[in-house]
Amino acid sequence: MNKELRVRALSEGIGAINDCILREAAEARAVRPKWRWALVAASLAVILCLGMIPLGLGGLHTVPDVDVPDWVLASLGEQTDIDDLHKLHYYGALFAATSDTPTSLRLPAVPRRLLASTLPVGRTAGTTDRYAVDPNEIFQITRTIAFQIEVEDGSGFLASQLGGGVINVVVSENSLETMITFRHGDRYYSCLLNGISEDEGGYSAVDGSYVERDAVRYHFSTHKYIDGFDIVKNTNQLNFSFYFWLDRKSAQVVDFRCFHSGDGDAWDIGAPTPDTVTVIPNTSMVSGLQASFTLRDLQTRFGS
Amino acid sequence: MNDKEIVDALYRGEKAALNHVAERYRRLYTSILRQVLNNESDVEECANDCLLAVWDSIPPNRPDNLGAYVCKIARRIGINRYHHNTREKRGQGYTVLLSELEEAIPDEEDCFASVECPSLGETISRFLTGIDRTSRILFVRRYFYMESVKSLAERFSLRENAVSARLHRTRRRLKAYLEKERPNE
Repeated sequence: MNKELRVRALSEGIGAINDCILREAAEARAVRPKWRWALVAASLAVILCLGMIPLGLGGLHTVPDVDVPDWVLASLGEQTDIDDLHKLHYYGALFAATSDTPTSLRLPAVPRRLLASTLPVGRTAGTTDRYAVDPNEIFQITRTIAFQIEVEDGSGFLASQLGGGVINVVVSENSLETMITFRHGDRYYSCLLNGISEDEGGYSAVDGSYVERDAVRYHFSTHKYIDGFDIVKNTNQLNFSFYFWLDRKSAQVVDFRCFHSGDGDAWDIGAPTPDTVTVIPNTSMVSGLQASFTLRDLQTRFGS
Repeated sequence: MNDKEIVDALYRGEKAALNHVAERYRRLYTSILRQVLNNESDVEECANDCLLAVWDSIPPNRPDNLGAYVCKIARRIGINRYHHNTREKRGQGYTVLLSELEEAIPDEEDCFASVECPSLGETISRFLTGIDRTSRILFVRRYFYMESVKSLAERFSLRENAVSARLHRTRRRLKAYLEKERPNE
């Protein structure tokens, strides 16, 4: 068998590589050159300075490119009916964050429509508002953070909503508002952003020790949450705050804390308490890839 | 329509399902054909042959992964056309890729003499499963999807030299693996 025939045989052997490996390679995420990040960050900085959009600190830092974690790949391989905003956000954000394949659902970008314009701004106690999201409208993801946490079982708020254990967390900046979705098996809980801030470390107010940190801190509140395809603002209920810190250098979520912020009704016996949460190391993914899609597109991609 | 629904429709003989195959995968399979053939009229003709082959082969086949199935067909059709063209001294697109693969073949002349293609495919798959993810993806995108080194470098933000060096190391490791494993035994 001469060399030419052996090479041809090898090439044919490569043609019979198994489908899982082919799919992994086909769906491998493209890594964007860092100058593009810098360009996006600079543009966002200019827009922020002009006060045109009220968020975006998360977009200002350069994020190192990372591999897609196994738990994200597992979610992308699932088949499920996209029948509420939790799933639309969860699967849509993971899809957007990893999608650079010919099956991409990308459509022309739509203008950002901030929820602030549709829900009353402010924290007046005792108000409830409900905004119905049209599931047929185009949904746009512009930035995704995904990671895993372990929630201690017990009376904690998340534990009571989802059960304790390992929980997948997906955060995205999108055409509705920055949103966080927690998922444990078939159970989901989503709520909306309260604010983003810089954390450059400093002396701890608790024990005076010096905390070294170079992170972006995200703060979400249970006063604005998802119910089916509705976004609800309800200040009548107990308010829990979720904070997490995204380390700039490693692009990993390094800390997650849950607090009861004191808004809403008085603390009742038997009411949920703040959760005890641990971030699972090296499970984070940060992506600035964008995608626009409708529920129908996602249903086609993930529908069972 | 998702992949499973497309395959079911093809199985029922609904020709419209071919449009969905083309809609979803045309960009992928034409990019493979383009890398092999470097000739736009050949690419177009082979792309149509590819759809025809999908139509002819489902049923009896019922692929679990339609994307990979279509790509395998496209790759086979493209390579056949390449060999046809090179006999007639037309087309060179695949030549560079084959010359790279020479580095990965064992020295023994009978190494693949009695090997069936699927068996060699399994051996290569096992090898790829054992190496790091980046090398695996680069190898598969280069030698299965036939993506150029330049395009890989851009896609993964690497220098072309870095991609070439990594592919070179993977080919050497594959050669050592094939010599050790002997897929025909």
